[in-house]
Amino acid sequence: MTTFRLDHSEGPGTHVFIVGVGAYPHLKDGTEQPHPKHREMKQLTSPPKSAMAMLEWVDRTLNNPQAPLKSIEVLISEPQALTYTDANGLVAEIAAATWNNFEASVEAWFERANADSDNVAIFYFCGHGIGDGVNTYLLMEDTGAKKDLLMSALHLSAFRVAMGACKAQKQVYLIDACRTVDLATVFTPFMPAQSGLAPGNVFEVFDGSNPVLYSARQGEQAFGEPGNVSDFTQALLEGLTRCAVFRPNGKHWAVSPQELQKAIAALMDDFSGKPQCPADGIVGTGFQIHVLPGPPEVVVHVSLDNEKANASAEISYATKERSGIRMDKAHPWRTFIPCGQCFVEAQFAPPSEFNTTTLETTLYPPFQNILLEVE
Amino acid sequence: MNAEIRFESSSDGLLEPARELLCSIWPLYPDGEQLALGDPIFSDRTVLVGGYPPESEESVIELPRAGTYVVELRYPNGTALRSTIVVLGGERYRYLVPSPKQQSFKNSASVPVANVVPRVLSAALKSVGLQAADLEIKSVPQKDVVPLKNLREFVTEINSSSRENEVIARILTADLTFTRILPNGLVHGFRDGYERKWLAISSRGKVQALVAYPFGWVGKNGNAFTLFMNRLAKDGVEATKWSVYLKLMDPVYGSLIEHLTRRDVQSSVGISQSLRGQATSALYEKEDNPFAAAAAAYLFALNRSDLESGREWMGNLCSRFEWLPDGPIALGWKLLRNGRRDSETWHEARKLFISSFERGLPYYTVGLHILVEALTTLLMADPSDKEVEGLLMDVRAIDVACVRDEPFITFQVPKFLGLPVKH
Repeated sequence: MTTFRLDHSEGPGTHVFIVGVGAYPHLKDGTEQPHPKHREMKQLTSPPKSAMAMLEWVDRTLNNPQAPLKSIEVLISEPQALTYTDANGLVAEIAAATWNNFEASVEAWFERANADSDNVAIFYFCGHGIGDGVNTYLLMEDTGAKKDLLMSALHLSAFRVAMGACKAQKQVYLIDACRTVDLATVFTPFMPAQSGLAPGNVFEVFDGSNPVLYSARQGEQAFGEPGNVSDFTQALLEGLTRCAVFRPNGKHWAVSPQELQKAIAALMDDFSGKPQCPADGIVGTGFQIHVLPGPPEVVVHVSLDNEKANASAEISYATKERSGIRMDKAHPWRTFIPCGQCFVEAQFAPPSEFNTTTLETTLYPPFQNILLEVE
Repeated sequence: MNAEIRFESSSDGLLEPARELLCSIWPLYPDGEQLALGDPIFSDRTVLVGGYPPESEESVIELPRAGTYVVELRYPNGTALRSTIVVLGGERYRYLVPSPKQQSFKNSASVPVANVVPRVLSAALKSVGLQAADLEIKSVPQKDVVPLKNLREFVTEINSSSRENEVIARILTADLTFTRILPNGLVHGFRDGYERKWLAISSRGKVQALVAYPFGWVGKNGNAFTLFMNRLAKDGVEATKWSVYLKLMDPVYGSLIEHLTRRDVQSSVGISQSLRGQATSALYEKEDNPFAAAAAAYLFALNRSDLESGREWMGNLCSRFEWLPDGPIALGWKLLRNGRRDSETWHEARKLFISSFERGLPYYTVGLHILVEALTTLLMADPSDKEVEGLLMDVRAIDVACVRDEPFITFQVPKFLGLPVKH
């Protein structure tokens, strides 16, 4: 169990639990005897990086005056244990994300979150995940150590149901893992549905106010470049720091899970028509989890209404603060532009059959689409 | 004329068929050095976009005044479009709505059913030794009830192609995309029994996909469905892999069930409660359309509405259309979500799920997902329930082989037959 920024003061606070699993000794290419049914799941290098990036962001940047940061529970599995120094100067080796460590940590996190109904509880996981069509299993480090492959996996639905008993009314779950369906779960329904907590009421209905933000649709894969922060976590951190905001009472720019989901959906849109992270089933603007120190930016997708014109188009924007030019031929072009007034145009080297008019618009977070009409 | 916005599909790809998009509009105004959004003028208001004939007045929204607005449009597939526009007084602002998919289907490829090859029997084609077609679409009747535990046998039988089936289209060398308006017909008396029909999509002699076809769902102009298909390549392994999309042409129910497939209940409710939604529902009710009723039942089941207000109606759907598996799933879910462990409603829900299992595959993908989730919930509550455990194994295997984001059950035959057999 590793806990940073522990604060026992009275009043609501934010309690974060971060789990990142890269080392799986009993899966393919691991340091121990691999499980005979390892499903080709192997060692990962992105989740520890992603979990560390999340830890650093929470420790150094998270700012929620309504519920100040009061604990960060962390488990990260790498071949070599990681050490971290938090903003208070506490230096600690981060415990591995084994099932036993998870059980101890989740209980501590639950108890802290349970102390005040205005607490904010944030759970983040990055590592292997598999699905059964309905549920998602999140695999801890010692997955495969026992005969049953999933004996060391967290059953996300059971976990969420168990967290229904927690007093913290504001909960958000950030799940960066594959959700591909595993046949082993098809023919052994209700495999160890363990949450590490006391079983909850399975009939509880979630109304979308405490959402789960997934890196992949049900049955699909999540992606990340080896050795780098994963695609979802990158989008998550960009949303948290730049654009996933609303203005509660018209005062400041605050991040909420709902706006975060919209921002991540925009940032991870591959324009195939099938959203990687669908932003639906959520209600309202949600609750504040972080306050930006200054004005936000906006994720902008700029496209031309005539795709043939794209190859010769130089697309650019200009605002009071800065300007930018598309460096490649990505279409649509995804970029961040400061919130507020903006001019967007496409220029074509003469002679050209194409022409567009400069578009003046006002950008508002979290995302916007700009369609330039080509004449 | 006040300030207005007219939504039009852009020319890049056709937003086909026409769909109800959900539109929210906020006024945007300066607030000191910052920007502020006012209260929404519209939240999830339906606007009709795309399709043929071109947009009508149903695609126009009237604004209370000129000004700067943030407009958000949500597509049925879960993507959203958001932009800021300035609308002048007396102006009708033309808002171009691009297709949600880069991959579009050319309308010119669409052929009315009357012009396709004459109806022939595939068995006859085989007997004269015709070359295996690149693409063949057949309408396969299901003579008897096929409980889910017997689905493998049924699918194997279809795959053996010894049956005599109606050929809808047969193309020796197909292109990368294919579109076909599907044949339909009036069914007199759905309550008196109904012979299910499946669309079997074959390539090079092997059935690739089976689609639950709500034959008898009649649209305003007769045929209610269009089959869209595409593939990545004409040669090699990818050549036989067709992606299949059965599209309901009715913009209201087409949008509603697409939202429903993603369990986006709020959006589905918004569409059903719009004026066009209510009018369409009333029409289907009058026509005694059990498929539309099943969609409404799922919506009711998933929504947090009062159980008693719709229980009798859902019960009637179950009892009047005994061949329809979707009714018991929807009612069972509603009861399960309102029941407590070991309560009477709990046991009634359990019975309904078993009953739906006996009736066969539901028509709607969301129904299959609900069935899996319901059986999982029952088993989580009572891990010793071996009957439910057995059903869950069968249903999960089917769920794995179905395309998750298609509204109507689209069953991948090779994937299903390739699954290990349960012992």
